[in-house]
Amino acid sequence: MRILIADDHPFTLMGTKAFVESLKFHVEDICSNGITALNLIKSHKPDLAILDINMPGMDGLEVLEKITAQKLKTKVILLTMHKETTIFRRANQLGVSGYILKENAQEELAFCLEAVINGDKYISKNISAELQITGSEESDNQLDRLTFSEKKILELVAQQKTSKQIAELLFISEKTVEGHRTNIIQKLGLPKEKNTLLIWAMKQFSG
Amino acid sequence: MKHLFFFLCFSLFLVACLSDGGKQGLEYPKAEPETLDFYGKYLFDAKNIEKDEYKTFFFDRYNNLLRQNKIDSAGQLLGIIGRALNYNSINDSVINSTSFAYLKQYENKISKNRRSEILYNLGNYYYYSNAYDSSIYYFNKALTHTQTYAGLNRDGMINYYLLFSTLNNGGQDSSIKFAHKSLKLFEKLKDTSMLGAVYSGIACIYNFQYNYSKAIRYEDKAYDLAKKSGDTSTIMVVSYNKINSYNTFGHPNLLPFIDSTYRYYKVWSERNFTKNQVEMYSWLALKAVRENKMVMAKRLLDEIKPKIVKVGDNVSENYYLNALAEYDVKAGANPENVKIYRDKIAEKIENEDYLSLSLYYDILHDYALKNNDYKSAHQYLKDAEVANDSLVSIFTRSKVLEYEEKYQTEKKEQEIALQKSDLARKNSYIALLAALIGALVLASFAYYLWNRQKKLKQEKENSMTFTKQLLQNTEEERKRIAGDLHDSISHELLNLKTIFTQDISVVNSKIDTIINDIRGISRNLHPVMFDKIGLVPNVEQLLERVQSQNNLFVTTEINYGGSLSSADELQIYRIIQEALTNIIKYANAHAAKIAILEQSSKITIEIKDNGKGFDVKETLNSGKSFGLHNIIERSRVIGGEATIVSSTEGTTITIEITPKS
Repeated sequence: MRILIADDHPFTLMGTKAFVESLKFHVEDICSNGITALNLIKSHKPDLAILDINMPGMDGLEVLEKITAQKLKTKVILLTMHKETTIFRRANQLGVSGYILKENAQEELAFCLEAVINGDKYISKNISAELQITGSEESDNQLDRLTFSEKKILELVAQQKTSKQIAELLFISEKTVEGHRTNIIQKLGLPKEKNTLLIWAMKQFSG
Repeated sequence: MKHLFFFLCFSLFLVACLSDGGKQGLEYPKAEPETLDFYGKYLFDAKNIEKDEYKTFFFDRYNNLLRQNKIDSAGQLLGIIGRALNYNSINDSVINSTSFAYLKQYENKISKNRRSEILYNLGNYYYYSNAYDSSIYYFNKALTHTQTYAGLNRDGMINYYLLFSTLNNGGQDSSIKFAHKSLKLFEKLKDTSMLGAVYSGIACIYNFQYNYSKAIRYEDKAYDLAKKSGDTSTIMVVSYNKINSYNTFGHPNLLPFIDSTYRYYKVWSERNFTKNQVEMYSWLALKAVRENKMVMAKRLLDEIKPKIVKVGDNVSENYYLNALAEYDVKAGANPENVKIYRDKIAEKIENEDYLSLSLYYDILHDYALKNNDYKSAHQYLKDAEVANDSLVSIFTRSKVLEYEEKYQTEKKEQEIALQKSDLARKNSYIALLAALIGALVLASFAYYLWNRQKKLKQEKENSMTFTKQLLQNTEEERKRIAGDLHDSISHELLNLKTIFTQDISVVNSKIDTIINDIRGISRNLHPVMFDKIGLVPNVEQLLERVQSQNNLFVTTEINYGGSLSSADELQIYRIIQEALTNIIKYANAHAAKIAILEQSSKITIEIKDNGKGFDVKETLNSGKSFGLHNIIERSRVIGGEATIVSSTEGTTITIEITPKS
């Protein structure tokens, strides 16, 4: 298992190298900018590259993009301070294998390396928490199981608005509203009877 | 039938070769002048005409030529003698019958021009024989209808003679018609001299109609043209006619005009032949009678008396008798002349010449009284009264005609004046309307300028407010960041310092808090790695956050290919951010919709909500709408234009960007 590490911050670089080596992995190359990293990856073809995102010359996402575009075998773990879902989504789009926040590196890097070596994906738990801000099926409160859109529609149903009115109010199609209603009824496990959602919603919002 | 005898202009046609002068036909170059041989020259010479052997000379040559079968030359000679006789006002029946015989025998063998010339001479012969039907017939036959100089000139002359022929036949309408034909032809030839003669002819027509004012007007015009042409012959012709008109109508300038004509007569050395002398002396005698120079008058009359019969011309005789009658009225009846007057009465009655009649009757009455023939005297007195009455009635008619004409002219003038005033009124209306329109245009332009000025001022004000607020906002932003850094980061770090000795997990979570705080600050300042991630994911994340934090339902319709630069995309992001902030803060909307649509040539961004809306103009000018101005300014920066439409149904902000290619 040959590993390349790239980070523009020397302390982090050395720290990461030491940490990875402590896990009995062989760190073949280290470098402090994206361009060198890409060149080394092209020439040495390491199995794994642990890349920071913010680097001079070429950032981690760009290196990842090139690797994917050139269909190189090297797998990429991004080790970064960026917790933004937008950035993660972009990395995910580009086929990243692991995404770890530096603040969680100590506890997660080992798991991540293991997962990636096994051919899995690893995403920092803080990121996945960020990704699932709404609609948790396990919640006790019935309302919490609904997405934001569904809650909004339920609120308008409680105001005795018709599907057509709701559609107009929310700039969506009537069909979409109907779809949401079906989903809500399903999620809440309401009995199959006439105006079941309206009755439930009135009860819910009146009290 | 009424006959008036006028003095006609004789054609100088083709005689130019003799006098070496002549008229200039500008458009129609004159044909080679006819060169006359020895015989021709002899025949044309006025000095020879009165010689006894004149005609013998002609016939010898003429018959000789015919014997040699030189038909054309014979015809030419016949033409020349005819013209020479005509030119000197001599009517010769022998030459006339010779012309008939020549035409009858050779009409088909001679040229059109030759034929026309001889026919023209025939016409002239009959004209001076007072046989107007025949003269009209031959003149009409003589017309050449050719477009050469000679042809046009001959036709002009023929029409001129037809004018008088028809006039003497009482055909005033035909006469006018021929006058105009003649005018047209001589205008073509630019023959001022003959134009003068024709105008004099037109004056004769009006004289005939007792239209005094018109006759005098045309006489004057004719006289001007004749003088302009410098042709003495024409001046004389026109002058005689003018004198006659002056006399007929009792013009006050009659006597001075006779004097001035006499001056021309004296200079006209070339052709002071008998006829001319008779006429001039007749007028001079008349003048002498009027001036009471009776001896001089008698001398003049006596001098021309023997020549009257020789001339044998109506016009001359007429002028002579006129002067003689005036003399006799003043000097008392001369028994020698009484018979002449008596013989002339019938003709004068026929000619409606009441002026002469009145004189004759006066003389005859006087004579009868002298001879104690009271019965005849009484009769002549009555006749004189009738003639005078007729004369008066003619003058009244002439006056009536004049007044009628004046009245018509005045009426026409009035009509013209009326039309002019009408036109002026219309023009003033138009001017008024134009002025009104002008004023309106000016007013609207002024209003436009004023409005523009106002708008510019408002825009400037808004812009200043915007800048001020921008600076203020920057300051506030800094204050907020400073506050955030101080309140959260510094505070947390301070906290961390105090608990550093404690449990490592507590320290860890504290540090995590600090990192998240910094993330929050950083994210609020600028979307992280915007240029890498692009517009669409950032907008989506923005909407997600807005939905979760503000209970605002936001839908999207995005169809954007990424043709704008990252910097421009950031401006769009900020615009959307600003618009959403406004919706959350003020709109009280159920939902919003963001659309980013890229078409072939433009990108449209639409931010729509169904909130309560606001008065766009008022808000924009209130100085408190930094957010809206921010949107407008940012749109402008990226080459777009923002349109804000708002009502109680909601607000729509549309930005249209045409990317620079």
